[in-house]
Order: sequence, then structure tokens, then C-alpha cells
Amino acid sequence: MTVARHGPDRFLADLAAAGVPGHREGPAIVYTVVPATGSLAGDEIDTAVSVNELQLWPTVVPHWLHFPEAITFPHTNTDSTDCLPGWLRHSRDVGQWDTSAAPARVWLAHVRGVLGVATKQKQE
Amino acid sequence: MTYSVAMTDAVAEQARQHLLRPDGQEDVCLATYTVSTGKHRTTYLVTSLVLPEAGDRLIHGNASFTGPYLLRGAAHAANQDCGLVMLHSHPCGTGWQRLSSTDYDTELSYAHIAHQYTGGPLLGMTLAGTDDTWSARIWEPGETLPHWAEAVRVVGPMLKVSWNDDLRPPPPRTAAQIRTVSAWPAYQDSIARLRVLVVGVGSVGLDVAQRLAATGITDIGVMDYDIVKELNRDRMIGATRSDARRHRRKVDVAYRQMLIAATAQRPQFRRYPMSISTPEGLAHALDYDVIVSCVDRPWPRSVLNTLAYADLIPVIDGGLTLAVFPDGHMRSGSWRAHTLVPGRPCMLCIRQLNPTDIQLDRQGLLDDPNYIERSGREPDGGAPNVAAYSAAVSAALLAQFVSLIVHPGRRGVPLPLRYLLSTHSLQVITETTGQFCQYELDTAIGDGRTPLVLPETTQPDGPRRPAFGLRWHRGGVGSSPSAAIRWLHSVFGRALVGRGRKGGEFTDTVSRDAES
Repeated sequence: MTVARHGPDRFLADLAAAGVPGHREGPAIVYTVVPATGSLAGDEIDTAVSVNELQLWPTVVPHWLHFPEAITFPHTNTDSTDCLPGWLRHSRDVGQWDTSAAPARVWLAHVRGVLGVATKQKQE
Repeated sequence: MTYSVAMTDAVAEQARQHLLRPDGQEDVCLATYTVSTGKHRTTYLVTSLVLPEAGDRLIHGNASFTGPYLLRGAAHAANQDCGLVMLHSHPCGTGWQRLSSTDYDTELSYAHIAHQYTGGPLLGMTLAGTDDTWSARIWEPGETLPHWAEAVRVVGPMLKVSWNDDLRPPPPRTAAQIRTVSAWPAYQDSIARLRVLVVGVGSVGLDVAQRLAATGITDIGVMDYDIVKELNRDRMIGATRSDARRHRRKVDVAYRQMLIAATAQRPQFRRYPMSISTPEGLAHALDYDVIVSCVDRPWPRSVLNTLAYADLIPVIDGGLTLAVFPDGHMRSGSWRAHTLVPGRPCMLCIRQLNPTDIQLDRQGLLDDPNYIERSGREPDGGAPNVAAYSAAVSAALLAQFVSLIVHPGRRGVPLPLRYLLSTHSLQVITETTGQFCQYELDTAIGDGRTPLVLPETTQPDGPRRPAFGLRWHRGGVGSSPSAAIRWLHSVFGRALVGRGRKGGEFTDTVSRDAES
């Protein structure tokens, strides 16, 4: 089986090669990361990206990071486009992209870095 | 439709090493190709060699393929979803090579096998050993005569083009070009034949386009969807108050200024009032041999970054930044210039592209005031820029062009450059290609490139889209027919002034003889 050159399937394959399995769920691809720093360090946090934003992966990378509403940030710009019920997407600039590392590893480092300032609200 | 062939300098050198034997005999080998489909030109991109193993070919002064070698090569090409190339050398040949009767019989007899295995036509190529000139032809299935390519590009830090003089003869040199020709007598015939596209004809692009026209280049295209506004006039040298008042298209102003500056006897300049980020814009761009990128938005720059590698069309890019202290004093200024070719890092690797900015630009969010306000970003337009400094960027881009084409000192384009105005220092950017750079991993992939473009109607371009629709009807240099064209018609008749428009492309051919 050949892996697509670009797109959501390539993203899933890249995640799997980096040891992080993901799956499609509605308009998004959902996977789990473990932040290394901050109040969530060591916790398994569900996150997602929009399938729409992955059409050109890895040439163009997503901008919006999806998290359950319980994950909050001190400063953020959110909406619910392409999100699963109970999730929000947060506008986050990836900054300069390191082409010397595998794209999925650079992406996961970005997501973990963003979560470094996040907190998790207790569910009622 | 015209045809051309391109390959990286690495592939060309590997082929040369194999085909030009120390014993002076001919040799043969196979290779694979992909296709890059432009609006009016199809380019076959030679991707990799399939070198012969023991017993795969016969060397007897001449050289011949064996059947098993050809079948192995065709199967390999099919597995790679590629077409098949048959290459051979004429060790004592000079210039574009014709087919001998033996060459003709060989290629014709194998063309149908190549097509059956790969689904594509056979590409035949010959290397002339005396001057390293490549020639190429395409054998469509069922046809007994090949379609000759008009040129073969070898692309790297030095661009080397082999020309088919029958299909693309050198334009005559003119009296206005004497000083230009004296600078590079061995290169003028090649420079004048290049098809050069300038994308973005604002302050820098307008200057570059005029200087390319003055250099004697016959085929220059200018692409820009925008119109001239009064606030552009402090940088667009050549644009007039009338241009701004009449909201003339920037491509029309560039076209007019290029005609004024042209030294070629019969310039054929083309205007594309469209974005490079549309399928139409991309298709036109794929017809060119060199592109000068004078755009600053991330999305069009990513499209150009893609085709520099995927389609082997060198892209010369650059820009400037000016920074101001809160008290009104100038803080700093810089310009950058870099040429995107295999062997030099792409714009992502040298940190001139931010991949999430490409995503935002493509989604139209960089033009969305609500998003800009909520995200805290600075608006994309309106950065400081002055004519007194932007000319430095034009000069830097044109110096890259000269290095790419003429190779002063037998060197090609330098590593990416950055100039700092405050210290007047020129820096060489040492960032190199990343192992996982997708742009460069996709080198010579042709039509398999990442599909970055979007149709015009679905582009979330904010204010651009409705304005673009209106611009077709504005009075401009390109409106039909302009006062100048009407005057030429009245004096010389219509036969001497050809003019037409096809699907947004304006092509004008004005006879210099007629004008004088």
C-alpha cells in the first residue's frame, strides 16, 4: 500500500510513524499528546485538527488547534468551525518550520508547546 | 502546444558521465520522466536514470539497446508512474542533434513498447559531446514522426539551455543592443530567447520588467491582478497620475513601459491580469523558463516555491523590510534576494515562508478584519516602502538573474543574500535544505505537485474578488483598442499590428520595423 503524498491520510501515516496513532472523527482527525511542561505536564490530552486544513499536509500545515472546551488558555482566539461537539479550535501560529525534522515530530512539538500554558477546568 | 524538456544539473551530469565515454564511442541509457503541463507548453522532466547493467547494451562505435534492458527500463518507469526516456550520445556532435536513420528506426520501433508499458509517449534525447548540447523529441503512439522539443533546460545554480534553432531561432540583434551584447557575446542569443515571467509588477516588479525588456528578451510576461492606485505612485516608477485616476491594471502599465524600454526587434510581451494562485495563473506560469517573484503574500510565494522545484522553473525571489522607531527615526532596513533552484534551499528552509501563514492566506483570513483584530496580528498591507530603497531590491534580483543565466566567472547564483542598510553589510544566509523539506523532496514531480492553487471563484480573497471582476471593463492600456494601437492601425494598417486575447491572456506583437 502506498502512502498519499499529501493530505489527511499522509498526516495519519506521519503521526503513526511518530508513535502517535490518530483517527478520523467527523470533520477532524483526533489524537493524543502528553505535554512536557506546564500544569498539564504528563497528562494525556486529546487534540485534533480539521481535515480541511490537512488537504496540503505537509507542504502547508494547519493553523487551528482543536481541544475540548475544558482546556483553556490565558490568551486565545477561538471558534467552533470544523470542531467536534464540546470542542473549540484555537488560533495558533506555528512560527518557523524546521525542515530538518520529520513533519509530524515538528507538529507534535508545536502542539505540546502550546499546551505548556494551558490549564484544564474540572468537569461538573 | 510546444514541448520542452528539463532536468536537474545532477541528473544531467550523471547522464553526461555515462554517455561520454573515455574511449570516444557512443553510449546509451534509459531514464524516467514526469510531465509538467502548462497552458501552451508541455515540459517533460527527466527524473532519474536507469543505467545499463552488464549485457544491457552493445558498444560497437555506435551503441544499441538490448530488448531486455528496454523492457526493464519501461517496467521500472511504469512502477514509478513515469514515462520512459531513451538517451544516446554523439561524442563528436556540436549543437542541437538531428536523428540519423539508425536513431530514427531505433526510437520509432521502441516507441510503442514505451507507450504500452507507461501509457505515455517515448522521449528521445541526444547529447552532443563537443559542447554538451542536449536535444529532445517526443514520439506519440501511432505517429511516425517525432514532435521536436524547442529547448532542453538543465537547472541548477547555473541555468543552461540547449535551443532548437529551427523551432526557436535566436532573434536578430539590434543596434540598441550593442553595449549589452558586448557584455556577454556568447550568451545574448540564449538570453534573448528565454521566456521570463515577472509575477507582481508593483515597485520592484515594474522596474525588473522594464530592465529585462531593455536587455533584449523577446518573450516577457507580467502577471498581477491589481490596479494602480494613487498611493502606489511613490514607488511605481513609470506609473502616471492618469494611470491611478483611471485605475489601470498594473500589467497594462508594465506592458506599456516594457514596450518603451524594449530593444528587441519584435517583442512579444504578454499580460496576465490574474493571480498566480489560480489554476489559470499557474498554467500560464508553467510556460516560462525563468520566473521573477515580486509578490509578498505567503500563498502566492508558496505556489512559486513549489513550481521552482516540482517543475524545474528557476524562481528569483526577494523583498525588503523597513523598520521605524516610535520617535519617527528610521530603525533599520534590509533586503533579501535568493534564487530557488535544485542545489539551493527553498523559501521554507531559509525561513522566508511561514506554513501557517500560507494556510491563513489561502483561507482568506489575512484579509479578514475580524480575524486580524481577534488574533492581534498586524494587517498585512501598508508596510513602509520607498522608491529610493526598493531599487536596491530590483538590482539584487537582476544580479541573481545575470548570475543564473550568464554564470560570471563560471559561477551560478550565490547562496541566499541579505543586505543590512544600517551597517551596509551584505550577509550570506547559511541555512541549508532540510532533510524533510517537502518542496525539495518533490523536485521534478511536475503535475503531481501539491495542489496549492484554488479556482478564482472560490478564492477567499476578500476585497480582491469583486474588484477583479470589474477590472475587465476598466479603460486601460490594454482596453481594445488603445489609442496607440488605433494610431498604428491608421498609419500602417492592421496587418503589421497583431493583437489578441485568449482567456485572460493579452498578447501583443508590435513590429519594431513598423514603429520606426
